[in-house]
Amino acid sequence: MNRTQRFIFRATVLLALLSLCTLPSSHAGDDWLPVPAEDLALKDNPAQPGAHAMILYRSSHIDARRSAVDGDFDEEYIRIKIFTEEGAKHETNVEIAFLKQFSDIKDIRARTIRPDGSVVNFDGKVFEKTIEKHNESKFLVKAFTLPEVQPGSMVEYKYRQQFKPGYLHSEEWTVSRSLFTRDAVFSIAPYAPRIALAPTLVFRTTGLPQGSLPQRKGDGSYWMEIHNVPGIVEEPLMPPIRALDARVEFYYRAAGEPVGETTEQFWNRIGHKWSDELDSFLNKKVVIQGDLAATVAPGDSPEVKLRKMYARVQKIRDLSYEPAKTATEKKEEHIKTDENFEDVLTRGYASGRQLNWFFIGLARAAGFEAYEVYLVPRNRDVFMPAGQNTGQLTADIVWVRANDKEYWIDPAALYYPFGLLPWYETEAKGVRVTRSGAEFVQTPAATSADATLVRQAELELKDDGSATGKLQIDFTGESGAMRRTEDHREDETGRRKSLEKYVERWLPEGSTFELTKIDNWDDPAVPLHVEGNVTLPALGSSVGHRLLVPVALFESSFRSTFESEKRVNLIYFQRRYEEIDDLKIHGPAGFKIETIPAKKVIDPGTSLLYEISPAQQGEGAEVKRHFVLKQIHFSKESYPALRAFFNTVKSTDEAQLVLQNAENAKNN
Amino acid sequence: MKLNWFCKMQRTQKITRALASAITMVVAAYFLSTPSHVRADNAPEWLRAVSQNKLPDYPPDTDAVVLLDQRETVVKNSGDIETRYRRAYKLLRTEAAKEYGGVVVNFDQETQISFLKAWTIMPDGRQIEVKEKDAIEGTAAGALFTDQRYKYIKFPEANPGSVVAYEYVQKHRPFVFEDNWSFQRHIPCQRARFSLQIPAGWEFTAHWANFVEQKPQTTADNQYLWEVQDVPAIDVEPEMPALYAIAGRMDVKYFPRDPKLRAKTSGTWNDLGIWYAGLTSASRAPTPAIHQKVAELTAGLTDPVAKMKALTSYVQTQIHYVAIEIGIGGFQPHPASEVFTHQFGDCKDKATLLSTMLHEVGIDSYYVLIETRRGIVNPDFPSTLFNHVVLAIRLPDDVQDPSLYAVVNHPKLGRLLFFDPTNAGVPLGYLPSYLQDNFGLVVTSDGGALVSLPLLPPATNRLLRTAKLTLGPTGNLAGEIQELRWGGPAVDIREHYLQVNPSERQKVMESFLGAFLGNFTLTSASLGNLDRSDQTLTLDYKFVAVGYAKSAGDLLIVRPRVVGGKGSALLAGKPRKYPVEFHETTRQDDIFDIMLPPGYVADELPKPVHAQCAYANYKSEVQVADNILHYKRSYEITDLVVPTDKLSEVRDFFHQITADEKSSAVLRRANP
Repeated sequence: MNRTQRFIFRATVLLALLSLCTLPSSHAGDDWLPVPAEDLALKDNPAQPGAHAMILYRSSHIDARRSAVDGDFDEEYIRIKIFTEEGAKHETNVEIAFLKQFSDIKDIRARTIRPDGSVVNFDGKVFEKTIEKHNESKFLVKAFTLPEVQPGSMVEYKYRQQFKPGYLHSEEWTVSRSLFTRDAVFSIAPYAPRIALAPTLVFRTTGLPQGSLPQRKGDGSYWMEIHNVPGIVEEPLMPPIRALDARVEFYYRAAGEPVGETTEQFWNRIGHKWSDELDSFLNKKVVIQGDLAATVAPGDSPEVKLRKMYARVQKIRDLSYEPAKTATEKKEEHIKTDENFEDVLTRGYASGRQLNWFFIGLARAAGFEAYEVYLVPRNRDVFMPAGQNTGQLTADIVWVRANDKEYWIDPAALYYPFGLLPWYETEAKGVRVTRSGAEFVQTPAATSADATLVRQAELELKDDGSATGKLQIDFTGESGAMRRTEDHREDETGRRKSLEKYVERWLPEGSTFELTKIDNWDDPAVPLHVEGNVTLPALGSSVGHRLLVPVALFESSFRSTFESEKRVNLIYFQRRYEEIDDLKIHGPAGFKIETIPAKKVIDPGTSLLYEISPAQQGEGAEVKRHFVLKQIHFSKESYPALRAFFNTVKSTDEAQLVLQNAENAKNN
Repeated sequence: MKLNWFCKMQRTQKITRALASAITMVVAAYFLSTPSHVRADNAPEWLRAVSQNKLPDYPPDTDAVVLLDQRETVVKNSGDIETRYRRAYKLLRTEAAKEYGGVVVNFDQETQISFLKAWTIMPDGRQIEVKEKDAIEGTAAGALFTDQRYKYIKFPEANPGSVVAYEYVQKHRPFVFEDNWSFQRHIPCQRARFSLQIPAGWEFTAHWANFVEQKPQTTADNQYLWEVQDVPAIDVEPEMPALYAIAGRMDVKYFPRDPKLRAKTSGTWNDLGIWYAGLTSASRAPTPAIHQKVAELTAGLTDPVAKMKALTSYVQTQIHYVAIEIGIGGFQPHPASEVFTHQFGDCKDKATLLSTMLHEVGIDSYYVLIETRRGIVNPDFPSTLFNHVVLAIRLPDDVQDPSLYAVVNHPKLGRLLFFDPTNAGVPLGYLPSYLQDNFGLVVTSDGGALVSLPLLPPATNRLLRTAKLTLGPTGNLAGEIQELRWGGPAVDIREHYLQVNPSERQKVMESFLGAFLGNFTLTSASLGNLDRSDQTLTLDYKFVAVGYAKSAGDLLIVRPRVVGGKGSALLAGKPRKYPVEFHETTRQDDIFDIMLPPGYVADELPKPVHAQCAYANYKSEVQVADNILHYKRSYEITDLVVPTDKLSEVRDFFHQITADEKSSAVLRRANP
């Protein structure tokens, strides 16, 4: 299950012994870069044409040398070329955010360079605006408006973010922006301690262009120059933004933490630490054995035992599914932090991670090999072990081996049946934590059969093209789990409304679905079953003595996703799944089928399948439709083929059954 | 509570990653901190009492109910006004926590809060108190800088069955002697009370809107009490009027005994005009720089309309929208000199600069105060309920330009051309839809008059779409479509295309086509006059749609209405309670010619349709001649607001359109 349960201000490390530093401080200068004539003449970005604006140059210089005495500072400078009115609107107002208790924004200077090269200096007021504050936490912005910004002009500004002394800060060079960046220079001068036990600055990189890496200079500082970084283009079905970002993260290793570890050494050390935490949580063996005895029978097969344990854990109140609580609410509800298995047992609640630990306790007590697996969920990021960033691992599941069979399960994923992981935890990478360290793992893939949508409709068609009828839907596996999870905070009324709206989105505009039955809401092991009445005011259309009805009742999946011919990012579906539809249509009295579209199968290989089989059934028709998404990641190069597939599906779904007025037909 | 006059054209706060993480930190700090919430049986008596209320049976989707909504307003002889607000909700569903799980109180330097507390009484009777110092404080979004702030308190344990409540005391803005008591919302209200205490010799008037007038009880000398009970909820319906335009409310004004204190914000529209004229008397002084700019912009122009167009276009496009509002700055514009120097301003600033520039070429103009949500201003009860400022330009007598549609003939002020300098998408002569059929207070140097702004006729908001297409024997459709748009249909789409990166504009067009075509490729596309809002916007696009017409034996089924949708599911589903408000009047035509594949003849064609109601017309017709399928239709909306008793005919109207849009022609191969 996916959690962000810990708020960590990783950025600050208190320095207590730093009074010996006496390095000189530096401040932002007034010098602006020269303005090349070719930049003035730019009408568009030749490297990524068709944007409102582009970043011509930016620099970020972080100086932490005098952190102890004067505080870190970060000098930022950015020059932006404006191409359109919209670009001018966007870049006119500048807002620089900061947290008052940690820093301030100083020495703001700004100017606009007109298209003819003349300069208008910013001499207006810089406003300090409180966006939000609570007690000592004060989030502010410094805001100002640049003068005379118009297409063809350039805007540039610089400022210094001055941090308070006595702290070291993690820093991030965010290389990718929404705008294209032509040239950028980054540097960081780390804290220069005079004592051996001081923290050490290290970095990790993500998504940098080939050949770009921070260079360490003789004075211990780092420097990086980078060019032509494309702006991030947002598209449907794209990978998580975090996985596309180019960035460099700098952080300080605390005194005592090993420096220069290999990736393996780092994760093994972390694995040991996390394993110890888990062992500490499971330190009441007798209590665990007692709960195990009450949960499973000695004669149960290993899998039955695991299933029973899974069901046992899923009955415990999972605080991760509840809205975040204030300290008062926790106090009112007597919610305390569980320290161990016994606490969970006696209090009857736990966080998602603790529930997984609880399961591991039972599994180990039953003699199974069971470990916690920490993952980078696929909807957030991509795991990069070399980055040595534990913060990436925001999800966790359980790995168990029983009778030589491996199980990857997430007991804390409420509404997910035994053996089924939420989609973002499938094919996800992370570490399995054992007593001997950590192993890199990838979770198994789900199949399309793990997430099916089975829809059966029986409709009575009227001669004006309207229809009414019954609709039954089975949301199986992941499909059911997602629906249940989506509405888990809703009451019965809310659930009904939500399901009705969800189903109505599949139907032609103006149609209504009145839900009459919901079954198996609380039993994730079986499909979520929904029934109801549909009213379709304009399913078909009449023309002369004919009635025309589309063969597919439900809107095609990804109907509007593949309209664009261009694609920038690779294609990243969330999950494999299937749609299995069975539509029975009874024509109005006096009508009979005149023509029926032929069966059609589109099978481009191993990744997708579509099949539709209309057939005459007495005076009416039955249409069976099957859609399978068998692969989830596609290269950018495969986009045209994917687009062709989905657009053909969309078009095929619009094929028409032709019904004819029987009396009229007789005369033909 | 009354907010300052922000414009409709506000920009939203840009949330950068740094901003987002900083917000996260403040919110996280809120959750992590140990607040001074007090667990004690110290909920005030009024809250304890209402928490015992018996509730009638409400519909199961009722999120919450207002148990008590009370205001106690005390007007002092000095003119200071202070109100104590008390409100208690019973939460009925988990959903309620989203809307009613906290309280937000807006304030600024002049409307300070002197007391704020919140409470929760849980279903088992336990009580929790939250104090003002536990509130999150923030700044209103929309302005570059404003002193408009808010305090937010989250009710602890805001779960079904809990009663949550708050109480605060707040000063009124000193120069405004009026108040608006709105007691009807999206949830039912058991009881709402408004008590008023005024000094001896003071007077008041009250006006009820959307609710049966209640007479006040006199509870003591100069003390009055109004009360309403069992006020029904207002359900959310698509395209309904603004909540404030249909919700029950009472507007009240106070009149001091001392004539010197008799604020111009009370009384007549003329009084309000005098007040605003005083507030803006020094705003429109020209400077040499403005004079020079006007000369530059109008150089060589002799026609007054051409001069007006040059100046209005300059202010619309070159003066960026930026709001800086402090105290009275919510009402009072910055001087024209400042706006011109900085090249930015909000709605009233832009109106100020334009008025000043127009004056330089000998054209007078007046501020117009307006509420962009139609139906809120009541002509019979003058009030400062406005949120936007535009201009009324006095047309010189010799100007008889028929392209200036937004003209009102005022008996005293002459021909007034209304114009919104903030909305860069609407050129001189037109009016944005939110200003049409609306009331605006025209402010002159010696007073003001409420004027009804015109509803522009359908012909001013046009879309003409023509197509030349060829259908192949396999059902493929290829060809070209041209759209001509002006008025309303140009405004929205122009704004949309301008907002996206030029490289993304093709996607916008593909997205439009994708709504009507299955398997298609856009082969070329062009936009004309995209950044010229005073010119007709043109869209030309060519495409190929594979398998557009569906084969069925020797039949080919083709939908003549290839693109474009007028049908609406607006009135589908359960019956409505409230009127429908159309966006604007409009006239739209489609004229499509489809060359049929050789050897095919029309077997059956859709019947002509002529749908009509009091608010709209629709006609469509399909004919085949010379192997070309001719499809034409027209769609016209003639009025904006459809009252509830007329909704059924509008429902039928749209139903006919929806059915017509789905209809197809059946072609048969002549010699199979």
